[in-house]
Amino acid sequence: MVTSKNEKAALRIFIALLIGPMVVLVLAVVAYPFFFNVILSLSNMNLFHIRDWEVIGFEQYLAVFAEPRFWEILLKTLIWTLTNVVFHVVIGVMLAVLLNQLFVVGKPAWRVLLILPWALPQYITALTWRGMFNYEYGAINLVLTKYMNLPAVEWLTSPFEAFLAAILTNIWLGFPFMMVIALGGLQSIPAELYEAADADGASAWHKFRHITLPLLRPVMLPAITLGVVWTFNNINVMWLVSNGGEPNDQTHILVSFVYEAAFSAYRFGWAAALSMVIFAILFLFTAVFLNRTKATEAAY
Amino acid sequence: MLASMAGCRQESDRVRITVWHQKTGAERDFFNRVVDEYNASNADHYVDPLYKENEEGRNLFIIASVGGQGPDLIFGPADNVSIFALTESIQPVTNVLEPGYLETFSERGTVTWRDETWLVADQIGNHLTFVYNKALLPEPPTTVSEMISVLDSITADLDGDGRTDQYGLTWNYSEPFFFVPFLTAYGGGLMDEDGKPTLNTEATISAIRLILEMRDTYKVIPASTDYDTAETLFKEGRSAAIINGPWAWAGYSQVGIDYGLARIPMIEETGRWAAPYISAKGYSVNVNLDQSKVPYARRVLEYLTGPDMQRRMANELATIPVIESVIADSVLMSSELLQASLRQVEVGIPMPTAPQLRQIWDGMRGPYQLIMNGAVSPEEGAQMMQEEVEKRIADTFL
Amino acid sequence: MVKSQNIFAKIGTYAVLFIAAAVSVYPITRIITISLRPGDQLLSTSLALIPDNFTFDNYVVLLTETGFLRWMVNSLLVSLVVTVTGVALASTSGYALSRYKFAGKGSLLQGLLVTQMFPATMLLLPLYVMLIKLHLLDSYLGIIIIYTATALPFCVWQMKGYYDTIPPTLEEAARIDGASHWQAFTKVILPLAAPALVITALFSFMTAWNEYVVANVVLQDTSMFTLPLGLKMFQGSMTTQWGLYAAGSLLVSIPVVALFLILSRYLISGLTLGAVKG
Repeated sequence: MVTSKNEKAALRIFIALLIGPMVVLVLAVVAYPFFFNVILSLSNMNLFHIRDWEVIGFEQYLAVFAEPRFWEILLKTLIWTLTNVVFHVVIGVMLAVLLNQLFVVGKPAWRVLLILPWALPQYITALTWRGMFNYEYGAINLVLTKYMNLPAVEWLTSPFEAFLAAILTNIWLGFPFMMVIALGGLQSIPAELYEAADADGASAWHKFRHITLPLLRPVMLPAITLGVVWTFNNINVMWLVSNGGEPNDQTHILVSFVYEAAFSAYRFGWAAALSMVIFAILFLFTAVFLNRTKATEAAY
Repeated sequence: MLASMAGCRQESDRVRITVWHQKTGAERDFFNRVVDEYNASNADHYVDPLYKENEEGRNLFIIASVGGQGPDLIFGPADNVSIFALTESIQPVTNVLEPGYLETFSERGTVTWRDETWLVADQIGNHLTFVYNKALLPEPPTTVSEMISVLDSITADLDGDGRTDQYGLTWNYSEPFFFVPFLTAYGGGLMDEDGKPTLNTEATISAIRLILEMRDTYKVIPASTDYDTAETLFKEGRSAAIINGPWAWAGYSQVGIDYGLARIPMIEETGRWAAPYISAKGYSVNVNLDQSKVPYARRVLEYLTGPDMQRRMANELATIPVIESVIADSVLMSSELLQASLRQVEVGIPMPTAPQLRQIWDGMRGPYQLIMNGAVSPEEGAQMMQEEVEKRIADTFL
Repeated sequence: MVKSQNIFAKIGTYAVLFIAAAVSVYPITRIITISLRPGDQLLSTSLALIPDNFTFDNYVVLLTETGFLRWMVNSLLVSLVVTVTGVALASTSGYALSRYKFAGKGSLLQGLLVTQMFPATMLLLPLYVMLIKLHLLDSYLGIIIIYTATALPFCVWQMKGYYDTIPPTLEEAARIDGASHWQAFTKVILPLAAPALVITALFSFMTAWNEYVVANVVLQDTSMFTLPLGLKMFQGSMTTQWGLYAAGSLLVSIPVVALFLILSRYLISGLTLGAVKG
């Protein structure tokens, strides 16, 4: 088809009209705060200079990397993110595959029950889990001691257990999203592939490994990328379950560290620099990850 | 509260004085009631109250004030004052009040920092007190050793399943604020007069040892606790006593506990009473208060902190007034609850006003909890506290 | 042999599903229990779903003595506007990103992902300053804009992913029949994208319905509060009205759970971030 110049111009305007409003809105909300933050990260804004702050250069960045706890918390953040996302995906895909089997009855009911953790507001469920981890009264310890004859665990007062408690909570919160994505992906796998495999006498594992997984991959990769970014920056769960870093500020991830620096010590310049570092880490990760996995290749 | 808001909406030409407060429970109900009364009787202005939890309210207030906004008045404890003043979020209350208004107040009724008065109180409060369940503990102990032996007789595993069903005492001992009375009982404190932290001391170590002994040797307090656990144990009648402040007391009678108040016991070795921090609670004025609103803000402040209000509060909420003429009213002050509360306040120590207090709370909390869960010894912990707090204070200048 | 294997597979499947569902639902039953307890008690050694001396007082107080119903109306208003705006913007821009090639398309898609990478806490201070300058404090417009912008990046990605699965031959056919670009989009493609639109709507709605941090900064007037803000009023640093908080939490969750229930059949087909091309 030959398109005239006029038609091309019209098409360009059409595209601009489709995309423009969205871009303007997102930029309006994101751009100004972002650049404000860049400037803050170069400033000395703190408790003593909250009104008369000035740009001082890269000192806050140096201070971030000089902070001995930065590396320890970075490591914790990586463990936090990796553990969560791995379990979200494994549990999510497993449940999706189980649920997708022909013989399962009452699929809509199962689906709704399994989606509940996603549907409820995090600020409510995270506090509920904190209650369940309570030493004296928590449901988890009551089950451990009353029905399983195991010793009670000091979930919230020992650093490792408290960190684990936050991870368990977040795994619970996050698997439904991955399950739904995987369920969607499974719909698009043609049934003929499985039928052919059945004819060849393939085992269930073989089918999963050679048909399901490769075909789910393009569906799951963007979700995993988003999952990593969201989990890395999910302050709610860690903060609420550990009551702001207890015990001994051992249950921090980088975002909660930012929050503490900004709103407990009023070190706005430093907190801004740290949040730029977080941004850089995630930016690099996604760039490399997307490049390696070609996750969004189909997208362009 | 809704009724008052509906009222405001209709008469939006009235001057609005916004107040952020952190009053909870019965005190909040009372506050909303007196604000409604005030709004009903004033045609040209009205008070618009908004509850903000302490920490969140403080942070939002600073952000808002730096942005040139925020509520006209903010109600909170004395230890917020220096941070507000330092960030130039508030102005001296004397800018708004009539000269001489504060002269009727007791020394504890205002908060002064760097030679300016920043807060006018409607009460002194926040003092931790020994609260006992009369059904389980008829006579409160006066010394710590007496207390331990009494508590020991109460603590019991009633059904023999290996879990303690009834404790002698419980309180949120894993939080530094709740540790202060024991620290002071050994002659210690959080900071010296220059605001320098003083945590690595014999007093700190002895006080921690005492708590550990109560928990591990005598087993009269729960092995692990936080605020809600302590509250629940006491409210369920599973603990004979609790150490908690005035904000919580009304909740005990609500669930039907017949309770009494007593001083937190004395330590025989030092001859000192366990002294909680006491703090004035009251109103400060936003630095951005519009000049045209000053007369209205003044009238609101005079209403909310005046003698009539303090009398009503003492009567209905058993808060401790800070106006001399109200304190002198022996009839008013004769209620059993108020008397007991006053006895605890007599031995209390005013909460320091230096801004470093925040770094001290935050910095000591971690090592303190490490000692409590046995990860470090009291000696190591005391040193860690001091170092951590010093680092945090140094960091704030960065 | 094969048959017995099948039975084991079936039993195993149901067992896993049952355990997973139980774990999903259990914490929610705790909230129910707390909401039925008298006297603001968060904790108890009893594991019973219905406490011994259960009462509906918390619900009665919540609905009659607090601003709960008003907050719910406010939240509905804000969430619905965010939903409509979000769906409109995501469906159009997602379509352009799926169908047309233009300069900067790749960076735009990545840019949307990049907006998710910045810690939201640090946006508070500048957002607040910005809203003051625009006189959007204490207004719904302010939070509606912020919520829509928050939900959009995900929604755009997911709309684009879904359009990608619809064969472009459909529009081409419509174009040959004389339809304009806009007609081809709205008459042919949009109806086919209904499942994805539903997901976008659901996601936008949830973003606005559950948001607390921004609302806390922007809204100062109690009569304008959204539900999460209202619920927070029951929480104090020392004394929390747990009963009211739990009862409120359940009531807050009901609309979202109901939406999930109603839209459940769209969920699995509509959520497509990057599908195999059809």
